[in-house]
Amino acid sequence: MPKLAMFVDVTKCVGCRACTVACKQWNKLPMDKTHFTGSYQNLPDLTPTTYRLVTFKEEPFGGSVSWHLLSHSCFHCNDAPCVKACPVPGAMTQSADKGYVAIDRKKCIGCKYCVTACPWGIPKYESKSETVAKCTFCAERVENNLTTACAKSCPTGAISFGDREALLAAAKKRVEASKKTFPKAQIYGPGAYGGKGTNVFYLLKEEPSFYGLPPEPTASAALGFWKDVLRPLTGWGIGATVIGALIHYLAKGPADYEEKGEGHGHS
Amino acid sequence: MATHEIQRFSNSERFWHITGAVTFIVLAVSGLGLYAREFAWLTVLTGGPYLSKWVHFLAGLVFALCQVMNFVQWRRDCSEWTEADGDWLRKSGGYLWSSHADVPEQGRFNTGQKLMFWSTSLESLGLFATGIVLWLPFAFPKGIASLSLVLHAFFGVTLIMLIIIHVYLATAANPGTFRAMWTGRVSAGWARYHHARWWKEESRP
Repeated sequence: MPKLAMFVDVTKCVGCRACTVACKQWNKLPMDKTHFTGSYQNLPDLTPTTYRLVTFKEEPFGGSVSWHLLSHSCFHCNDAPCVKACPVPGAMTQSADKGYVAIDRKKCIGCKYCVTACPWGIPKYESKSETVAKCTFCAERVENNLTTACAKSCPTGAISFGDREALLAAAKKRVEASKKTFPKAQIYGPGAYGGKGTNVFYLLKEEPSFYGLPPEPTASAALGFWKDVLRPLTGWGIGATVIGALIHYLAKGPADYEEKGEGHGHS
Repeated sequence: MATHEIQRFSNSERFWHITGAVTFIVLAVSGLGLYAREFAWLTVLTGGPYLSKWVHFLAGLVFALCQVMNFVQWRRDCSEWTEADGDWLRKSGGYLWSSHADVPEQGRFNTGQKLMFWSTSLESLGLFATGIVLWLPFAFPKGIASLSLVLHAFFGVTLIMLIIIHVYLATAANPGTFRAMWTGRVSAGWARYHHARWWKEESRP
């Protein structure tokens, strides 16, 4: 099975939010209470019950206003930091063949390590259930050869779903075509983590920072040291201490003091 | 008091040390179990991963209190440092390359115990501070939260190693020592052998 991916072409997004509705419907997510802030955007950020959100960035354009839309959710990173951080077997997992990152909330213990690890702040902690929630890449659909709900519902083809290599090739073609209209157009995602990349990638009209995205998403060095250096040393360190004590006991033996008699005893 | 026995630890000293020891074992098991998936099987002993999270947190608060009390009750005895301590270190306390007979007479705590006191106290402080950050990661900047993850694991693993040495020295390596923690009393022979200076002070009429 080839790796699967989603490609979000923001130049085709019209901000209809069908993707967010489809996401809520498929995942049976309740509504979040919204507050009017003068923007068309529903919520300021993702929540434990909103896995996908379209952000509306407004910019003056002529005498009117121009929208910069970004339908965003989990990036489903290769070698994902959240999976690395998760201490519970089977809670946050990466599909070995298809590449997506899924969370099993029945196994999640709410340690929040993944929330700290994610460079985008995608996993959201829900205090009521003491679990973390995020986009699952519609794992149940994908495993049954169906398209993700968001891609399925997108009326303009801004979200496409399919084979990762094919989508990457399509993205490269699209970015060239878009540069005529948007000189700063670029692909965001495949270059993350020094090239390991993400399985959801974007064609952006502007610089990533324009949309509030980190230009160079990386896993923190602390996370790597914690899991790749310190963790393998843990077993060795504890084992070596026990063996050291054992060797000492065999070589030196117990300190034997004399109960009666004067001065120092002899070992 | 039975003949040839002297009181080494008071009831309060025993209480805080024993409570600290029990919570430490709980913390070590649940902590390793929550560190990484390879160790996750350990969480069976503390009620599975989810309960282990709470057990680790609550035991951590109790342990922190124990360590504060241990610090308060032993800080004075562990702060005295003389030439004899340097000599003890050079002779590795008679445990490695010198024999016990050459080691200078020790007070209530020997040099090694004093170093154990200070290193475990500092590591406990580090574990408490980083543990609070890990429990409430959203109250701190992301960099602090991920740094705490590393430091908490580092302090935890090295503290486990120190305590393995501590337990070995207090049991198999030095018979007659463990009862000091448990009953508070030691034999006069033990006191004379291990802490001659302290024994002389204690047995002075």
